[in-house]
Amino acid sequence: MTSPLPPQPAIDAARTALVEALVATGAEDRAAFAKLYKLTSAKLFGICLRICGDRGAAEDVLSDVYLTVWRRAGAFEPGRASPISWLATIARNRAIDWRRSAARRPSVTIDLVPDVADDTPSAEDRLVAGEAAGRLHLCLDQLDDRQRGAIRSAFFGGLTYAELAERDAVPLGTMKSWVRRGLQRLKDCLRDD
Amino acid sequence: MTTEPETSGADVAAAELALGVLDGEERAGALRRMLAEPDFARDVGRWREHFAMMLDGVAEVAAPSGLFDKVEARIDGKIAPRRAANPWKPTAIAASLAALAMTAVALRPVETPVAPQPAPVAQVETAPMIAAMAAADKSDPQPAIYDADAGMVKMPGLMAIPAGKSAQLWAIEGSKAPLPLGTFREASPGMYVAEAKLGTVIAPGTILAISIEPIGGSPTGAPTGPVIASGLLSKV
Repeated sequence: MTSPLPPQPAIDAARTALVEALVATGAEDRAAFAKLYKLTSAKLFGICLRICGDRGAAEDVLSDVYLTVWRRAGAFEPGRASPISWLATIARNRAIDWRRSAARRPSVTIDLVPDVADDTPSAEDRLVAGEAAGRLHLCLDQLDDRQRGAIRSAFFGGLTYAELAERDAVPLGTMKSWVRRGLQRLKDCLRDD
Repeated sequence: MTTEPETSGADVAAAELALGVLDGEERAGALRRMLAEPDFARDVGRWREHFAMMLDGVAEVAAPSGLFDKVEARIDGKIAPRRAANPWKPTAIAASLAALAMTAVALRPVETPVAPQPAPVAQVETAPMIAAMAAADKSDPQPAIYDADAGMVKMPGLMAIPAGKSAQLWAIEGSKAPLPLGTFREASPGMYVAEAKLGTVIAPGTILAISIEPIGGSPTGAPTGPVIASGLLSKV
């Protein structure tokens, strides 16, 4: 690790600021919503862009994401979920909705999600999500390229076993066994303390 | 737990379900387990959290300037909903969902009886189901499609949602209280989508209803506004 993680108090403060902005947004506080946008839009736009693979679409999806956040922020439970995970998951799901609907429109071609595995988060990226993310990345790094690639494609592309197998032109059973072995190793790794 | 897995930790079905790689019968089987086994459901939740951490690694990209203004304009309803040839008028009838719930049993067709459920396991439907949503203002019924795989109800067509309000979807099973589902959003032009909460199971014979609520849905968990449409959900 070249750059050390920020100190714990900084992580806590950033998280607290996010939680406060999100909770206040849930109470229809526009200023808090603007602050939330400022704190998170680059992160969420990065996710939309990564999954959609198209800037125009990513912009539309991001707009949908914040509209959803505005409407649903009241349902956020601070004790149960990490605020950035909650927001990032909304962005991911909306972007995958777009991919699926675009895939059904023959006129639209969507880029395949690249299998690039090297989105290793910077220390700054981990500021809010904290150590748990580092742990997952560490465990993913221990998988074979094939296993990790398939798991990442499933997640970022919203692909099923059948779709993964078709995309990579391998038999369904082969794809299942790659992913299952990968998940098993991930499970063992995440369980170790 | 009384049962031990054959080989220690050989079970990755929770991870598969959380990752979204399963489809068809395998997915249905995993969903059944989610309903029947609280430990399994908890594992699925944990895996979802783990996988969400992958998003942590995605590089940030500055959002286009002006996008926040667009979002605010949409919140304020400044961007008018698309013109409807035959928009539903939410003010037409303030039908009571309680009354709907009471008539639900009478409305249920004979061929789709809801069997008494011995355990909350059965009734996982993965085939799409449809409902003809009769509008309260007597305009032509519009189809609603329940996609169990995606956990969402889709309605092609047009929906007149008053500015500053949401259209919320409800599921009414038998004489039970209406179960709040998601609020509708226009997923693509002329296609409205409402998402059911994770783990929600909707069986054939359920009544779907749409009411007009404050933004984000009813604050009380029970419908508060007028019902604009309802219909009985059946297998295709």
